[in-house]
Amino acid sequence: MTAPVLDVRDLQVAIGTTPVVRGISFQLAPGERLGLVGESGSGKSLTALSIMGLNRDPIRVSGGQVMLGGTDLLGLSRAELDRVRGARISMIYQDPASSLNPLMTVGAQIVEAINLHDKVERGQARARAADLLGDVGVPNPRQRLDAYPHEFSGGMRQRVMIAIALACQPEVLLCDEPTTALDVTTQSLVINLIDRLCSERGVATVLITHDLGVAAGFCDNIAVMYAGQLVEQSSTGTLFANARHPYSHALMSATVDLGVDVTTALPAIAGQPPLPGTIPRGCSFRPRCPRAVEACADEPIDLLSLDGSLVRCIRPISSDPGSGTHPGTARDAAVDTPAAQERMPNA
Amino acid sequence: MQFVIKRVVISAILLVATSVLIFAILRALPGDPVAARLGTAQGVNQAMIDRLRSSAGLDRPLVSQYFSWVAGMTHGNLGRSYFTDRQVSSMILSALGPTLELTVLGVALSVLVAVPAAMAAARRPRGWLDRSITAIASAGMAFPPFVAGILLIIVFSITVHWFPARGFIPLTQDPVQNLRSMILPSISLAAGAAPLILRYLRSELVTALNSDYVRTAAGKGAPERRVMLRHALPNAALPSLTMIGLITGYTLGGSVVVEYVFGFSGLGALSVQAAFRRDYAVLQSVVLLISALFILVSLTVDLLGWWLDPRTRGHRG
Repeated sequence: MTAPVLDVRDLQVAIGTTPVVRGISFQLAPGERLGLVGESGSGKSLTALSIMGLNRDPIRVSGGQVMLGGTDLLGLSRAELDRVRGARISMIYQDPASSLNPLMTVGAQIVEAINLHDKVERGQARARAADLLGDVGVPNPRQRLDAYPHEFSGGMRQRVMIAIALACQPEVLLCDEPTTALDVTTQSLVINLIDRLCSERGVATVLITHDLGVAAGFCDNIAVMYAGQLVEQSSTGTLFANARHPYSHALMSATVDLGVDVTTALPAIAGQPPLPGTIPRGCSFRPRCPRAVEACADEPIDLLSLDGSLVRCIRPISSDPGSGTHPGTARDAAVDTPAAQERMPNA
Repeated sequence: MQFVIKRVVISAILLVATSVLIFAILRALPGDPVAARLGTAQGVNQAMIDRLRSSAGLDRPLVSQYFSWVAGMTHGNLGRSYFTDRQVSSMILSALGPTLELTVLGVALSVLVAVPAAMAAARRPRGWLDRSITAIASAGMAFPPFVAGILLIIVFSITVHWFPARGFIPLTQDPVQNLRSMILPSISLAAGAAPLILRYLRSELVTALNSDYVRTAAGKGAPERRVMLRHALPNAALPSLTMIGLITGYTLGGSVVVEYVFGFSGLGALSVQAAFRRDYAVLQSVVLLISALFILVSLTVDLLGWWLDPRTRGHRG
């Protein structure tokens, strides 16, 4: 494998003193598309915002490293970070309606993105902005440069956001639920646009979504998040065909398949994800997991390699859907030892 | 454009309604201007009183008095003072200068102090700097303006002799002395007004700094300074305009205390004096002028806000 462009190592984020992202690690190869999926509140957005250094009080990164090329973004000063953000790593946000400055023309906001990193002459920056606006599919880009965000539809605003994010040819693009705020017909257009532009420019992408359908079509690999941790990471095909963690398995089953009988109730995962600060010890999915046993309450449950996937489960679902568990894993043996029982609950 | 027309028409109606109201209220007040002028003078008879009444037009029906006041206004004739017999227009004109200058300088000073202070405070909400600035602002608001004025006089006029304690020197007569005489009054006015602007702008800035578009700007790599000045400040300043307009309008008529402390006769002082003398001729015109200025300032501020906000100004692109 070539050297990753983005290497997130044990990233930890806390709101005040309450941990919400509890040690996320992943690598992004050049041009790779990684999906970060999970329910709302699982820490997906916070992970992306932390990578960008865009967290606000009282949310702060409490540990880990974010390596972009050779530099740890978490160790940079604000001035150093400003030279990286928007130039080598960019982000597209959830709500395009509020993400653009209402008092500035769209052109001025794209030109700003160019000028912050590339000191080019005014006319040239404007021409580049018009090209970008054309690339993202805004009709009459030259005229539309002078329009204000409120004169654009939701989908068009998100296209503008994409133009801003790609203005300086970043190596990495983080997309935080880029289609959630858009209507269904626009969603696929925007995803296809991101898909095409990132392929053309060789931009490595992290797509945060709770829409597994979107993730399936876009991503090479998918990481499933639950309660601030990765619970499973594998290639998109493997995950959809054969999810090993009970949570990802349930998540896959919860997606609507229009081929099946829609008169039956849609399958849902029983219960609620734990709130930050009240995460149970051991496996955080344990209270909702139909396969949980006593040993699941032991700490810590590590992300283990399993047939090419990474799974955080001591009783993963077998690759053969018929047979139940993998009996007798290393974890099971430790259940009755006093040391295992005395481990502290998750702080 | 519809907004502009609507706003101008409403202002005009408001102005007419105000003039009727001022006129009616002053006539309904107890007290008689002729009696107030004569006071306890000896040898007053009914014939003298009647003569004074008719010379001031006070014996005519109220409606006719109102219309002659309005008709006079259209060519700058506001009648004569019941008390001093001076032209009301010239009394108002001489009082208008000091008040306008005091208002402009006081509000400008307030904005000049409040904007940087609000930006410094909003950078870290509830940080030590924010707490200190907010505390000083609260103290400034709680401080009565006459106390601030007197303290300023004691320190800067009596102790160190930097500025004159009292009096107004017209700008046309001596610009340097004029400015020197305006400094202390402007500061005592700003002591009350700047904290209001500061607190309002600070909370608008905190909101703006927490907005998604500010996050976008930071995500582009914009330095903190640029994020503040280019993105947060314009968005926060827009709603704060109304507040500044309100303070300006209020100061035009409400700086009586500052005018008294620093001994110059502005509109506020003139209206108080006229009220004591039951000098309706002066009072009605001064109060109307103050109201008109207030209406004009809020109209200007509303139109300015409308024009500065592309969402209301209409489509251009």
